[in-house]
Amino acid sequence: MLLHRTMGERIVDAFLYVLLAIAAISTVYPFLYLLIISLNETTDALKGGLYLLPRKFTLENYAYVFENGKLARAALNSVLRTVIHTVITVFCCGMLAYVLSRRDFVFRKLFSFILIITMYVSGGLIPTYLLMKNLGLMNTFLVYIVPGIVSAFYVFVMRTFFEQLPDGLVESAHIDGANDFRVYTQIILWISLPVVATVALYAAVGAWNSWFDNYLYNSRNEKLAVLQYELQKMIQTVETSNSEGGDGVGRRIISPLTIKATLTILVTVPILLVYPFLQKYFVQGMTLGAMKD
Amino acid sequence: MSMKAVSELKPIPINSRKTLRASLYWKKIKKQHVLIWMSVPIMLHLALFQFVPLWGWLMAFKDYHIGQSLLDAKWVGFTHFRTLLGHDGFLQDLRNNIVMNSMQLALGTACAVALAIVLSELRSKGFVRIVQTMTYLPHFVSMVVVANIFVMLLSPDGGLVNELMIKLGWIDEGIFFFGKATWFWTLHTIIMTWKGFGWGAIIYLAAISGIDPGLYDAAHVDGASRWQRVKYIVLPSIIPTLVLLTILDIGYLMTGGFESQFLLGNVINSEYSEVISILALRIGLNEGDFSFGTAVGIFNSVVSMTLVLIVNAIARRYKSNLF
Repeated sequence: MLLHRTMGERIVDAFLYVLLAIAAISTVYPFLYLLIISLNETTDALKGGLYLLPRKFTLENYAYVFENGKLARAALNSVLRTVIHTVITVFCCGMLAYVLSRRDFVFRKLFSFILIITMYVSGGLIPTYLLMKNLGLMNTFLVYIVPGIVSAFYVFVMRTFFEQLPDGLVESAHIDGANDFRVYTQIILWISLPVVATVALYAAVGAWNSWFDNYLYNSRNEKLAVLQYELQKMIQTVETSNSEGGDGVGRRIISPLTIKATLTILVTVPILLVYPFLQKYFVQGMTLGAMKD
Repeated sequence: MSMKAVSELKPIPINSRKTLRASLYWKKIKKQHVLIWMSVPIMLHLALFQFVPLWGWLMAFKDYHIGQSLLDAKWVGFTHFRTLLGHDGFLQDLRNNIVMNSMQLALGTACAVALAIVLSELRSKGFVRIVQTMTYLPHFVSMVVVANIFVMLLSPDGGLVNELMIKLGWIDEGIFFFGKATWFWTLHTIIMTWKGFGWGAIIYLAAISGIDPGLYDAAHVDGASRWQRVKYIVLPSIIPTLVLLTILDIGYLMTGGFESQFLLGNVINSEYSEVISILALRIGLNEGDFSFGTAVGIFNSVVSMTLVLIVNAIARRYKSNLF
C-alpha cells in the first residue's frame, strides 16, 4: 500500500471521513431522538426543541407503558411468540435438515424438491386467510406459531452445515445403538451451535418484528395483540391530540407523541441486545453465501 | 422349443428384478423408519400450509361468496382477470409497484456501492467498524419502527424536520410530507435506502476484500492515482456482484413491496402509495370480494414467479457457480 500521501489525498480522506460520519449519524440519530423524547416529561416534549438531551428527565413514560395492562400484555405476547417460535422452528427445521443430510435417505430427492417448490409457490393472501379460518386458527395464539414452523431457507442453511460434519460421527453413534432421533437431539444439535445460533437469530428477529399476522388474524382479540401491532396502530395518529386517558391507570397525562417514542424504543431494545451476535452470525452467513465459489 | 415357451421365459427375470428392487425399497424404508418419522410430519405440515391454499385459486375462476362451498360456486372463467386488467386501481398500483421498486433498486444499490467503496478506501479500521455497526442497525428493526420514526420526524406539527426548517426560516409553517401524494415515491425511496444501504454494502465489501493485493501494488508501481485505482481495480471487481444482484432484484420489480407502502401510506397519498398486494388486501378482505382479490393474488404470484425463474436462469448463466 501507499506509504505517504499527498496533500490532495489527505483532503479527500478528511472529506470521506466527514461524509461517513454524517451517514452513520443520520442512521442512528433518529433512534436517539426518540430515546430523548421517551425520557422527557410528556407535556414538555410537545413544546419541541429536544435535540441532544432530555430537558425534563423522567421515566414516567416507561412506567406508563408497563402499568398499562394492554401494552404490558402485548409485550408479554411478543416475548412469548418470539421464544416459542424460535425454539420450535429451530428444532423442526434442524430435524428435517438432518434427515435430508443423510445421503442414503429414501425420500431425500423428493422432499428436497418439494421444499424448493415452497420457496417459489405461495397461495396468496386470501386463500391463506381462508385456510386459517377453516382450521380455526383465527383469534388464537397458535396462529403466531403453527403456520410458520418450517422455512425452506432455514432447512437448506442447516442441511449445508450438517453435510459438512464428518460421516463417522453419525455412524459410530448408530453402532453404539443410538437411533437417528437421538443422534440429532443429543449430538448434531449440540455440535452445530454456529448454524443453530444463526437460524435462531433469524427466526427470533423475524418473529419479534412481525405484526401482519396479528393484523390479519387476531385483530378482534385484544388480548392477543403484540407490541409491533400496537405500535402499527399508532403510526397514523396525530401527535398533539392531548392526553390519552389510559386504562384508568393513575392520573398520568401522556400524549401519543411520547407513547409512540417510548414504544418504539422498547421494541428496538431487544434488537440492540442481540446486536453483537446479529452482526457476527448474519454477516458471516451472508458473506459466506456470497463468496462460495 | 416353441416360440411361446421362449416368450414365457423372458419376463420372469425382469419381474423378479422388479420385485427385488421393490422389496429392497421396502426394506430401506423399514430400516429408515426413524428418519421417516422425523420428516414426514414436517412435510405434511408444509403441504397443509403451502399447498392447500393453492386449492383456493379456484375462487378466482368462480363467483365465490363467503359461506358457500367452493365447489358449488358458479364458474366464470377468466372474467375476474379481464376485469382486473381493465381496473383503474390495478393499473395505477402496477405503475406504483414498478416505479417504487425501480427507484429503490437504483438509489439503494448506488448508496450501498458508494458506502462499500468509501469504507474500503479508509485506513482507520476502528472507524470503519463503528460506521458499519451503526449503518446496519435499521436493517434489523421492524418496518413498523421505521415507519413510525419517519412519520414522527416528518410530522407537520412538531416533527423534527419541520421544526428545524421553521427555525432556520426556510418555511413559515410545517409541511405535511406524507400529505403530498406526489412526494410519496421519493420519500419511500429515501426511507427504504436509509433502512437498507448499510446492510447492502456488506456484500460489496466482501467483493472488494477479495481483490488480489498484487493488483494494488502493480497500480502503485505504475503511478496510478487513487481515483484511477478505484476506477480500474475496485469498480471492475464489484461489477459481477452488482450485475448479479440487480438481475435478481428485477424478479421483484413488478410485484414486490407491501409492508413499507402499507405502513407509510395513508388515505391522502394512496393514489401514489398503493401497490398491488395492498389492492388484493383491500378488495379481497376489506370489501369481501374474495374472487377478485384472489385473482389479484394469482396475477401477483404468477408474474413474480415467472420473472424470478427467468431472472434466476439468466443469473445462473451469468455466474453458474452461485446457485
